Amino acid sequence: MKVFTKGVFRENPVFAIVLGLCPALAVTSMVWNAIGMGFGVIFVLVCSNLFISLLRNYIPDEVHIPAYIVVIASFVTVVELLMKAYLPSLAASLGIFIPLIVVNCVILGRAEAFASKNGPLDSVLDGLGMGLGFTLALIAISLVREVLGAGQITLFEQGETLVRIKLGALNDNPIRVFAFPAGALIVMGYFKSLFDNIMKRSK
Amino acid sequence: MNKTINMAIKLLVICSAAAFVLGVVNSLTAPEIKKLEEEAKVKVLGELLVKGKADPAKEIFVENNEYVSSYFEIVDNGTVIGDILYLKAKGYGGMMTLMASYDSNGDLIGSVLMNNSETPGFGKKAEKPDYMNKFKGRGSDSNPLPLFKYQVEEEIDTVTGATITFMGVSSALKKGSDFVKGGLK
Repeated sequence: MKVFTKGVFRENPVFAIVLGLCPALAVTSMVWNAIGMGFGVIFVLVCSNLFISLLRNYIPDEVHIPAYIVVIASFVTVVELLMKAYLPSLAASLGIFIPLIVVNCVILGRAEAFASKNGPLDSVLDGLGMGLGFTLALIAISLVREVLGAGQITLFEQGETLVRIKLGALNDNPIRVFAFPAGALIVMGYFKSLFDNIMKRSK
Repeated sequence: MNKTINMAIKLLVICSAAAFVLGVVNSLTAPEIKKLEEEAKVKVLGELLVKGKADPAKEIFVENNEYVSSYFEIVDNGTVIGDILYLKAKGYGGMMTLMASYDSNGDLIGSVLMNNSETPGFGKKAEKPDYMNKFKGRGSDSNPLPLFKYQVEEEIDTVTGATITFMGVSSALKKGSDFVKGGLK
């Protein structure tokens, strides 16, 4: 249980160990994108952790990075193909960031730091926890960015179905900078310091 | 020596297994993806018509053209009044495909961005109808299609921050117009 919960808070991949910042900054302009990205990462992280943990005694040490990348890239491609076939709108709105999950440091980082040293069950739990922590961090950043930067919250978008909450005055006059990458860095910075502060006090 | 061979073989086994799994997934999803693409094509074909008809089954393929991959004729009462082109364009995230309808003068009737890997929040905005409306009705020699952003006067902020996407879309639409004006060559 501890293995699972540490990823969500104490070792949160984005705010505590500061991994996987590319997608955290890039896709967080809309809450729905963050949710979609988060679930893609959870799937890849759990599967790759499981397989790398199972293969940990088989993979020779000298070529472990290429072997991990092959495993990770395969699962990312599986996610991409499945999304394109069955969730075309999400695939279209995430675009280039789905294939880029391959180079997400959280996934290789967990493979290297955890799955290669622990059993399959613990690795799956670690993947779930880390993935969930990553997703929650993305949702938190995107919530602030979308509310301030566009004055709306998009919770779901698939074809004709659109769940979007518009916030009156802010929607007409949004603070544009939050929709841009600079805004992502500002929000990320505040979250990080807030997080560090909470961590310090809880000790 | 033995160690190297051992490593190579293990890596080969992992890669082959991965390739096999991907092959299986691809064979399952490929028809589904193809079906979605065809459906989108037929749907867009209908949307791009103001008058006349275009038969989705009568796709004419173009070879040796960098921008135009195929086209459909728009027929109204037995005469050809324009064409719907299937265009290729270069975007920020790789190749994009567009469908655009032109009248016989090369004026743009309508256009839709189809497959693309543009950045969400930036280049992706080109999927919205407002974006494409800036090009509508332009194309003939007296009113050419805009090639650069400054040639689009109104609502500049809707295209801010995605210059490569804009250039890709605008040059493909322009080449499409030239293609129609040049007698479909």
